[in-house]
Amino acid sequence: MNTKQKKYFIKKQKKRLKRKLKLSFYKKKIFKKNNKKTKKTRKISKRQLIYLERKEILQELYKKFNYSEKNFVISISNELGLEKNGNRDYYLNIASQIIDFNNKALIFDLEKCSKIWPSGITLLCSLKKWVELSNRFSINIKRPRIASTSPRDNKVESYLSHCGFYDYVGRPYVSQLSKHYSEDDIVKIKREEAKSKFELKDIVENRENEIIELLEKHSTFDVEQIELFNSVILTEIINNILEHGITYNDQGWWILAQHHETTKIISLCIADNGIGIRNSLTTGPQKEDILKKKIPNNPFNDGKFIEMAMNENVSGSTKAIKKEKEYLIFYNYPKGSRRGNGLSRIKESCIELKIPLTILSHNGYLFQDIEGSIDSGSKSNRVFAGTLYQLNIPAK
Amino acid sequence: MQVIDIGNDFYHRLANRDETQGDGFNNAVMFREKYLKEFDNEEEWQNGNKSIKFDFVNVTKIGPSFANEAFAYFTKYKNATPANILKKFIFTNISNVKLLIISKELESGYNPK
Repeated sequence: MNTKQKKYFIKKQKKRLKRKLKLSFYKKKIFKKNNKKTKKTRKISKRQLIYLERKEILQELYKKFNYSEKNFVISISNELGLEKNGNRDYYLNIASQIIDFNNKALIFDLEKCSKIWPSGITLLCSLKKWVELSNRFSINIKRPRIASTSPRDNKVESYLSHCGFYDYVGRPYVSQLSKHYSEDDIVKIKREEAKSKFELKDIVENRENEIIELLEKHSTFDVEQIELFNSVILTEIINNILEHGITYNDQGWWILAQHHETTKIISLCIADNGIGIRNSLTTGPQKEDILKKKIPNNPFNDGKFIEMAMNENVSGSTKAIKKEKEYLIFYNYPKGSRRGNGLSRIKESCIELKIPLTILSHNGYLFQDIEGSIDSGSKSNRVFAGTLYQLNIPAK
Repeated sequence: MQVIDIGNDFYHRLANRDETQGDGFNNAVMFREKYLKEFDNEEEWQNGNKSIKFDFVNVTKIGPSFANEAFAYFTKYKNATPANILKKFIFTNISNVKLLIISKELESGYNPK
């Protein structure tokens, strides 16, 4: 090899080396970029994982049902509602029979029914929605038939049409039926249909305004008490149901409010069709802390989980904050903003405003009286297909 | 001092914590980023002397979640006690109920349980 050839060879090698270096530089860059991307996707996927887990819970729930057993007739021979203390056991008993029914047809015998309270109407709407969603979560389910006989008492049928229930379930009725009731006494139940978040914003505000108008007309509250109710109780309950409802055909939540002159209450029912409080808590970011509390994670402890959710800093949100290490051994929540205070704020404000509060969530129930005493428990079957907040607001 | 008419400049219904809560609109995170970004550092709470005035005249309600995320967020900084926060963030034309809700959230953010 002569000197010229040598020089040429060295030049070529240098060029090759440069190319290699350039390539490795770009490779590193791409690798870094990819790494950043994977970190991002990991962050997103944590939330997505929670959503997937929650979807699986629903699928598991629906798996139990094939709606193939013989027709089931259930007789309602009393008042159906949580509004009066004396009716609660009857309500829970009926609810536990109908929500988890697995028959080809469910027929309500309403002949001897004397009254259906707003909480009863909300229960029936949750059942209707549960059945409607069955095809979404389980393949090859033949939807069951739900029907009812006409009540002997004209007022019951009249109320079913007046409160919006017949419209909700799509049952035709004579419009004159609702003449017994005043339009000023009610915020009717309906399908909250919103095609976009913008529409949802207006719907939420309109429904809140309707409730506040009803309170201004009929409640015993003064201006400040109404403001407290609106800011804390109404806002936090609506935030909860909008976050946890399953949104498909319609928004997966309902509101029904009714002024009852004789019992001097405004019954307010706000509900969603979600996976329930226990399932939210045990699938969210706080699940490890929550499961450490040694309450077995099964439907028979739904009541205990509702009670736990009433404490501060307990949250089923996908963005809940976990405890951090403090002083070597102790764990505590970091200072600053944090989720999980919604239910505890609702609880405190209900005591302050002397509002008895009821929460039903799948198999669990919790009753809080005006002094804050709590009675909670669970049934072997579900008592609500989702979560219901029912409040008895003192009225004139 | 800068005065913000929250009801007109931001929104009258202060309810959502972030985009995942409620309808997600006009949430507390957006509020904080729009008006309180310059307070979001340790230095400002140690030596800073900035303050901002919020006029609540056109605000219909403020929920606990919003108050927690918008204001109690700052209790994570060393000197950001509830009293110091209320010195820097001045609220005018605010009802007793609204002030009570904000104060409660500041206390709860400052004293973790």
